[in-house]
Amino acid sequence: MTSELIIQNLLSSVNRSLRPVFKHWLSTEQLERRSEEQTLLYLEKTEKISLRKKIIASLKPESRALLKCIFENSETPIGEIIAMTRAAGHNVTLASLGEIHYKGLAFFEDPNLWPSAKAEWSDLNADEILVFPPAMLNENIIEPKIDFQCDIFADKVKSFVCEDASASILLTEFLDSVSRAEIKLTQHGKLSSRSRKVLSKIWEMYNKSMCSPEHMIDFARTTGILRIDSTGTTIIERKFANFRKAPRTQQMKEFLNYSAKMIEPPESELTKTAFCIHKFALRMISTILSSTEKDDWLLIKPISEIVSENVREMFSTGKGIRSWFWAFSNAEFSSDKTWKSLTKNLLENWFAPAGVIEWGKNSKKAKCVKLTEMGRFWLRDEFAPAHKDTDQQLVVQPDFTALLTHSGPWDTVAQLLGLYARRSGNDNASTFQFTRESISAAVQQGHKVSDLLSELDENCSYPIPKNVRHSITEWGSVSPNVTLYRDINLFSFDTEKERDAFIKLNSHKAKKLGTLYALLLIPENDIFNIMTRIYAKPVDYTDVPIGSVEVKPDGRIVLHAPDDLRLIALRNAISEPDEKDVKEKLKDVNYYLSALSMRNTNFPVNSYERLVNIPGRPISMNVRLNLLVGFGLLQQTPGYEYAILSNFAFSKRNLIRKHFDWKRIILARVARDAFVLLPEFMDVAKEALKKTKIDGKVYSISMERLPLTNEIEIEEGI
Amino acid sequence: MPVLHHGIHILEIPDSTMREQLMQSPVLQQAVIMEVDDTHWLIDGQYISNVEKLLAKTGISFKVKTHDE
Repeated sequence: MTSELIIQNLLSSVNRSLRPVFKHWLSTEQLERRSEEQTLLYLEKTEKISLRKKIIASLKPESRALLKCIFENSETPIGEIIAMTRAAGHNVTLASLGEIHYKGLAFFEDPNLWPSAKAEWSDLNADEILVFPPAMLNENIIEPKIDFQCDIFADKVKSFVCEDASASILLTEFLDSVSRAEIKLTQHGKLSSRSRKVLSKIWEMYNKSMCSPEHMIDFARTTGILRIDSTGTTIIERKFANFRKAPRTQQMKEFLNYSAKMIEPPESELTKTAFCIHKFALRMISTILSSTEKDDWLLIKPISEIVSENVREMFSTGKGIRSWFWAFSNAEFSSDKTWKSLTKNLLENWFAPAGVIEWGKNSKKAKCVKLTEMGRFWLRDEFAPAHKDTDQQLVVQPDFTALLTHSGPWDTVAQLLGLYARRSGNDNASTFQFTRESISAAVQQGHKVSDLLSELDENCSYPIPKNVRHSITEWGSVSPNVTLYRDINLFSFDTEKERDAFIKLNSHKAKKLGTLYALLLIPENDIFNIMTRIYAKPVDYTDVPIGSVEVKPDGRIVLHAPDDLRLIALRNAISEPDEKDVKEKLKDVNYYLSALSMRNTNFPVNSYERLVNIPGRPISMNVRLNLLVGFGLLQQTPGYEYAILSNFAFSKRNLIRKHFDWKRIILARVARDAFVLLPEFMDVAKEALKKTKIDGKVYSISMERLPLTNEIEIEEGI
Repeated sequence: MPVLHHGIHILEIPDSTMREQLMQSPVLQQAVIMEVDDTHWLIDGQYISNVEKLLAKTGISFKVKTHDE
């Protein structure tokens, strides 16, 4: 937001008389004062609501519309704002901007760009933003009535079906995929390959779609119906259930508004212009279409001419207020040909797949368009299309399927069933399959089983089978105690006393875990404030650990990121604290490799894999062998002699199997491309590699045993 | 010094029978990093959707809570 100081500095740097501007705000007596004083008085007067309203009301309607758009988009370059206002149907030109300067409502921050008798409009002007006194932001301008009319109607038009509108079905299918947790992103924000496969299957069903899957994800994120966490997993927000329950026409309206706002040209068509030509064309076509009455058909050819004409006019140097207009304009426009192809492209690839227009041809075979019911609902706020079919039948069968006939895109019964069951078939006849998984997922996302059952009772041609009613009720019951805390913040402390003191201070949202942990469910910003206040050290789990686990030759374990719970868990799986090493803080105690810990680890394979896959300095082959033996994943051999097959791609094992009994010979996998075998099979392995011509290296190794604590007890136990 | 563990995932299962039953699953064995206390497990972020699917498959309805709920 612009501060008063910026306006003050700007007005003092203007090298021309500001009397014409100030005369709207100041009295004759005040206009006689020194210029600095006048500026201060002007700023003071901008805070007077009645005066502000009077001056704004004196603006021409198109200038008022432009000013409203300036206030609402204070960070947008003026070129884009002019285009936005013009596309909405207001007769905005550069003269409108001149009037806004003249009446002291908003200004270019650079006085050289201001309108004047010799001013020249260029792309430099279009790229700038306007500044205005901060009090103006409080002004709520009522948008002047749009008086846009066009006379390009066509007679005797016969409509023809081009192809089905796909957007509403794509949106529904997309939301269904999200609810089934099929959509996941990578940590770099791209769709994972599996998600891409799922979505491309849906998108492939239609030749044309008005948007990409990524665009739909952006829409869902922007509207707050889903969130992507640090691992790239889609998390359904509370709004998700409400959005899915809302009438499909309402969902589409929201989606179309978003898409129209966010439309971007394909990369190949990116050009440097003073405004986004795609957005302008889309808005302009919407305005033209919305000016029509029901059953009005429009010829396509003149639509592009209207678009092109409006572009030329909006940056024209039409007659403005004397000394407060641009005498010349250097604005460059795209050719008529560009507008023609862009209009055609948008109608065919955006409006038609969106389901807002239908096609027709007049007696001279000229292509025409007309707004559909959905289009009228979107652009003119008329009644939303509704599904009407008296022949519709709904039958719930004992095998947990529901059969629905005579459905359609706006059918509320099909929409509701889709929330709880997987749909197959088409609008003529479709089947909805209820499963435990689909019902419990719906309940978890915020839907109620009672809503489903009452809808079924109301619409079913026959009573619901008892077993189905009973099972649906049972599947929909929640075990409220199981909770998954996702992407949250956990504090850990050195002592229980410190933790308890912390809990006391943050009792409203803190939860005790174990003896040293506190879970805090508050917004991220507040968390970071608390972190700073208590001098807590941050560990980020949205990324891999920043240090590794090192095993020293004396068996001591060193953690290079000592506060990371992932590393602490691994250390605890392989070692024990030195009992003699009494330290004030548990953290400072030394840990040594322990046979007992390794043998007692519940999931040795997982622990070993985690240990060797920690990024950073790799664990040596000798330590790996010691760990495998310690975990009981590798048998002990006399003298600890082993052989290693390295540089061997695991995927090639099937090729080598003919010459080599893989299961008998390979004892363990020591790394991604390395395997341990008994020394006596070295020759067999070498021979097999030679015969199959597969890359690989075989060598013997003697494991040097690392000292272990609690070793004797284990061996005696065995 | 206190530590803030940011962006962590924790699964809370108060019922011991359910806990034992779930821990038999290789999906959970792979996903659990450590036991925070008797009823809470620290879950590895890369396996979180597998855990959700497992809970849904076994018919366990559960609440999902995030940092500001």
